[in-house]
Amino acid sequence: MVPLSWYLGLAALLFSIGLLTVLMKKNAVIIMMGIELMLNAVNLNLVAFSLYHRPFDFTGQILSVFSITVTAAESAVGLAIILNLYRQRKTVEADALDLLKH
Amino acid sequence: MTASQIVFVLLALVTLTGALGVLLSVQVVRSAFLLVLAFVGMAGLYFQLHADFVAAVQIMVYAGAVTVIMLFAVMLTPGRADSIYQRSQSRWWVVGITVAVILIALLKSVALVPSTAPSPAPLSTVHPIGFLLYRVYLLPFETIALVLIAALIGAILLTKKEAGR
Repeated sequence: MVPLSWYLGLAALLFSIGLLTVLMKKNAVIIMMGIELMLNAVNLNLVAFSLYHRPFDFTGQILSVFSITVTAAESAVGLAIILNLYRQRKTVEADALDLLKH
Repeated sequence: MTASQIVFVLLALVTLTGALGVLLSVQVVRSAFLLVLAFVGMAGLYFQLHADFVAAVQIMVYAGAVTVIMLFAVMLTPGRADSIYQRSQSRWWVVGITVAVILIALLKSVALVPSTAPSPAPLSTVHPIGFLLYRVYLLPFETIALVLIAALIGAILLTKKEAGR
């Protein structure tokens, strides 16, 4: 069988890649993709712990389903905000959105 | 290596390829499609963890809906090339060292986890999850429905062009 630590290590790697994407990309759409990757890594942890520690108690899986639902809502609202931003500022680069600085 | 370990390594490679592709690709559209690869690999990992309901939800919501939303965002905004290689050197190092420290801390704590063998898993998870959702977790379930409705209306209101302007 696959050890639990393999899943946790993979989730840690995925989380780091998502964090790097959020921190190093400029395009707001790709920053949202990085957030999705980080949330996916957390979901993998939840499901793995659910199987390895409480195989007949599905609370971890239910929490991950709720998390997926909230993520879907988040990306819909995020897309709406990005589109509005593009309509008003003609850019989706996160570096260019410094209205509060000036 | 047993068969399940080989399957895990293959699925992990698919997922990591997709995730790294999102980070490293220059074209925005390519990032969006590589994100699908990462999501499908994750769904395979859920199947391997005997979480077939979560895997189905992952494919429907993530690989289906969220990706379509991302592609809409890519289509409606200028898909200018977005390379991480053009960043100024100082910021690159700060970000890299921060993420490396976080990753090392995570992996160190993973090494502390005792490697317990999984108990025999239940055959189907759909029935018990449905039972729990409608009996034990009914209030969170209804609340999440409200959250979805609010997000739907909010997204429509945000993107609607204001009349008279």
